[in-house]
Amino acid sequence: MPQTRKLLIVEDEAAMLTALSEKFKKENLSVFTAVNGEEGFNAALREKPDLILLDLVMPKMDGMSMMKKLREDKWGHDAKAIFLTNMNDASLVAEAAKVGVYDFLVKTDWRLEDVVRVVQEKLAGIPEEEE
Amino acid sequence: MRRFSDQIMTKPDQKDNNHSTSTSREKKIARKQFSRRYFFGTKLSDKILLIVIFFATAILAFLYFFVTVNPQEFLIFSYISYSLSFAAAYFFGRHFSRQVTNLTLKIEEIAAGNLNKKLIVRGQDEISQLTNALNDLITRLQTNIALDVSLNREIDQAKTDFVALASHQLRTPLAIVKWYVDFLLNGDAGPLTDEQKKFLSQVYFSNERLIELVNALLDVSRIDLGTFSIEPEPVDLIKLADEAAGLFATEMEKKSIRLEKYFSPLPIINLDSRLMKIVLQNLISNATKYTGEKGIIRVIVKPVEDKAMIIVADNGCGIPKEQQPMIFTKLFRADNVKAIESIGTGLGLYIAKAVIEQSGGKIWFESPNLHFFVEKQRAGKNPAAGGGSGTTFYITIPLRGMIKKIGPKKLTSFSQK
Repeated sequence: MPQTRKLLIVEDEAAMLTALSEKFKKENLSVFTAVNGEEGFNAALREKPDLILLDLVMPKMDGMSMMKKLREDKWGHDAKAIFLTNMNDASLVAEAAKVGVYDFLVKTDWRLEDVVRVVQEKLAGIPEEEE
Repeated sequence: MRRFSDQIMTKPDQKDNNHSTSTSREKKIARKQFSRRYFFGTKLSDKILLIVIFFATAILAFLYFFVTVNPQEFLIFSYISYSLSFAAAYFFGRHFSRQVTNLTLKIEEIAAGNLNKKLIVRGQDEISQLTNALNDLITRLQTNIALDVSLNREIDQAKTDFVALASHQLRTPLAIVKWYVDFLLNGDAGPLTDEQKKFLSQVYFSNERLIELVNALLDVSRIDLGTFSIEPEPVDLIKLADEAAGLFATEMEKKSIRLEKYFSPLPIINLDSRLMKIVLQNLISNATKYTGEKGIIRVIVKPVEDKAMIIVADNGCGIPKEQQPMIFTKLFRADNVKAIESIGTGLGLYIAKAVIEQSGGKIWFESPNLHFFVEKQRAGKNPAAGGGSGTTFYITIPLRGMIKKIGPKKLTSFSQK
């Protein structure tokens, strides 16, 4: 029996956060949420999720800064993440690759089930941690 | 002639004199104005006339003295009269030419861009009138250019603001609507009746239209601001064209449109596949929208000399002759297509043209076209099954590939379709 995978969603738009967390709860994931980079960073270190789904533009700390900060941590150094954003600037994609995030989803381009599919695929590729 | 060149040589000095409002210069001007008023009328034509009269008088006097006065007196008088007339002609001639030369030099300076300069008006002669008129012209130019510059700056700023607004503030709610509709449609919030599903699909469809519009507007801003990138990589153009046409298969089937594809072997070309997709989808989407029931759409890809040529031809409604020059203009939609289909941003062809031309290619069209001439003949009584004279769009891209363009943004419209 595989243990429940942990997903952390960091998103400042309440409506979007609800849609995502409800959807992933139905997918039998253990979902944690945070509304900005700072909260997300703390939640990530506390919960050590299998995957982080995070927005780029957020108050207090943006997604990119959060990932940079997380990369300095021993656990966070190898944390898996997917950026979920409204922007698809070439420079941002390059910067995301620099912090080791290669999935960059533009929200309006993706249907909810496709986001789920990407997350599931990503999770399937991550070995389960030995407790 | 010599004097004229002297004037040109001393141009810098004159400029300096113009800038310094020295009292000696003002005095000189006053003296000149006084002398002109004292001696002659105000019109240049008067002056010329007076000079001629002066000459005539001198000749008459010469004749008079030639007959009656002794040679010595005659010589003295003629010497004096010639000297005077010469001096007068010299003075006025020089004065006149200097005025004209000065004016010319100043106008040249203004034409070069120094619009802050005002021409100095002296007296009321024709040259002064001309100077006055020129001053008016300069003032008008100044205000218009000032308006243009500040307006352009405002427009650029508005565009930048718009991009920022559109990319976040417009897209976020659009994404939220999209995902919640998905959520409901998937039955995640409970089972739906067929009618509810149908209505929600309408919401989804309208929302997709809005997303498409926002993406297209963003692309236009990126094109106008020059911030979009062209990233060529080896691409199979035929595959790209085939895929683009395939996206519209369902729509074409609905209208029983026949899709004909003619692909001639092409080498792999360095293209920005994202941009190429935008262009191809734009053209094929237009052809699908504006071709009637049982029409024909032809997609041709072939090498022509050192270029790859893409042809998208249809026998649809065509483009009205008088509106053809406007067809690549931003937000423009021809009257006949507006009547056929209310959905359309008028941005597609503008984006297509910008993309193709900035990557080193060419795009043009022909309407009515000759592509379906034979079919029209065969159809006989019922010419042009598509219903119109048709349109053909041509694109050529050098086989050596698209020109690379570095930019921080990517174009997004149609990209995920």
